Amino acid sequence: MEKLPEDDFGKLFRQHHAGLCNLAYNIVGDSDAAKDIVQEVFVKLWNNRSQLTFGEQIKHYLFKATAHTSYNHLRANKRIAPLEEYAGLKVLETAPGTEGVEYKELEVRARQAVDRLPPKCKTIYILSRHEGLKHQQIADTLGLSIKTVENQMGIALEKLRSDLKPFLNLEIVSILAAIGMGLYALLIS
Amino acid sequence: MTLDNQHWERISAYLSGDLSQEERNAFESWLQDSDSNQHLFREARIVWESSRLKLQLKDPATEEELLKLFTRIKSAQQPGARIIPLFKNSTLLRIAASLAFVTVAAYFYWTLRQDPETVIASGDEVLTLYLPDSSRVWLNTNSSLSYTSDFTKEKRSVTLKGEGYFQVKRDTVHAFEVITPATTAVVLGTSFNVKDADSTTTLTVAEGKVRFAARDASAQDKDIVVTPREQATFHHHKKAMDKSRSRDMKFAAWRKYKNPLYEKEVQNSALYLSTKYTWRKNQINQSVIEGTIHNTALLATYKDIVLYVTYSQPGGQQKTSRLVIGEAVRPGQTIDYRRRLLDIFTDTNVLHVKIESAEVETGDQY
Repeated sequence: MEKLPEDDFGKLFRQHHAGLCNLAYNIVGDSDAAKDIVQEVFVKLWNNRSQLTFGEQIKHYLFKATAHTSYNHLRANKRIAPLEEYAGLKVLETAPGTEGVEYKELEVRARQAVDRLPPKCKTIYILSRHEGLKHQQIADTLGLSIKTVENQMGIALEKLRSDLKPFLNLEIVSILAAIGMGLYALLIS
Repeated sequence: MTLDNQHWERISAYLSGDLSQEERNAFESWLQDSDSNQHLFREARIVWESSRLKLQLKDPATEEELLKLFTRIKSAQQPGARIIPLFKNSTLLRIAASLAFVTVAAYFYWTLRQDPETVIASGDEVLTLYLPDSSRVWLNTNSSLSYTSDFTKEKRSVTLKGEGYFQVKRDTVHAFEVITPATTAVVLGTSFNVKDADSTTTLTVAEGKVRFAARDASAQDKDIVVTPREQATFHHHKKAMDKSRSRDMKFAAWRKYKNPLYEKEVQNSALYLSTKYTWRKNQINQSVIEGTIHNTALLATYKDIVLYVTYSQPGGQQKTSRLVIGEAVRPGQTIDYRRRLLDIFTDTNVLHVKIESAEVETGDQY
């Protein structure tokens, strides 16, 4: 493969930087650490530029390296940092393909519960839920067996459900209330 | 109602679409087995659907990070700093090599004991660079800056030839010092310009306070404090200092000439501007967009920012609209905006805003 010129490297960086930072940020929950992780990934990429083929795979490589580095960072820093700026719901963004902009309380609670999951659980769950990866892809990305991924996904869901238990009933009540109000509005119009 | 983890595994695999058709059928018949299974699945699904929120990093500062990356890559490319695995296979050789290296290093450390110096010199373009403490420096054409490897140990000390503009990261423990052949300028954290010419050295302060001193002990005024918008000049021959007010920011304007980074900021305004927004329908069915615009450029101030809005209703055609935000956004600044669309008769359900273009403010601001 021919040498990657700096210009192309800059272009590649600009193209993927924000997205990769977001991926890392969602896993480690610390904006500075997230930026450092992405720096690390690109420095490695630069050092290995002679051994890599640059094309469609590069996106995949960057994604994988960022997810893996974030996971290692999270494991090394066991103390789970509280997410900054939690009060500002503006930082929350829905997964691509959905159009909602307003967040229900439950969604914010769920996000907080995800952050309380143990490192492995959390990383796997985020890759599945945010990035839409299949179990096999998650296993490849993090270098784990597919059995572990399946197992951790189950643990994640069980933990989240017991963590959110108090709010689940409220949710059902509020759905019922919304239906009731809708019927009421129909009746009086 | 406790279930073993197997059930949870299957529920999560079902929700994430990781089950084969056969497994799905088995799962669905398990669901039909009991009300409690269904109840559990309902709860799991609510949890699943509520946990798709993705956090958005407020400001990824892509351009700054790219600069940092290039600085890192460049300094690693200097000879001596690259690590080349020489002894890949033998542990014994590795140990021997380490011992030899330590012995030689210790010998040189004790005999020479001089810190290596990093020198950064600009050619005929303005150079934007970062120091190890994240302070930002613009180096005018044909100037150079050097510092030793113990830069952050006690005092952050750099030697300047020519002209430089410094935006110093605040650090009250380690003072920042700019040394020219005739003077020194000491600060804790602020922005200022130092110009070293043949017969004078001039310091102009943009923010904060700078202690400006002659290095020659026989000079008349040894030490003066310069505050924002003040300019101090040291005359090399008279060995005297004077101070005057600087009316504008023209002294820092050189950073915009022959500066490739600034050219980029001028040409690709949309690259340096980002917007975050929410939208809703108000009582008379207009779409109201509320958001912020953030400028990540280092030098360019943007105004007349054109937002390109696309929106559509279910099954309807896509419509577009352009909104212009006249307000100026300085480098690093974030402004708020709020605009309405004239889409009263449209049941808008999809709306996207992106930054199309912007003008660069060419005034005296920086």
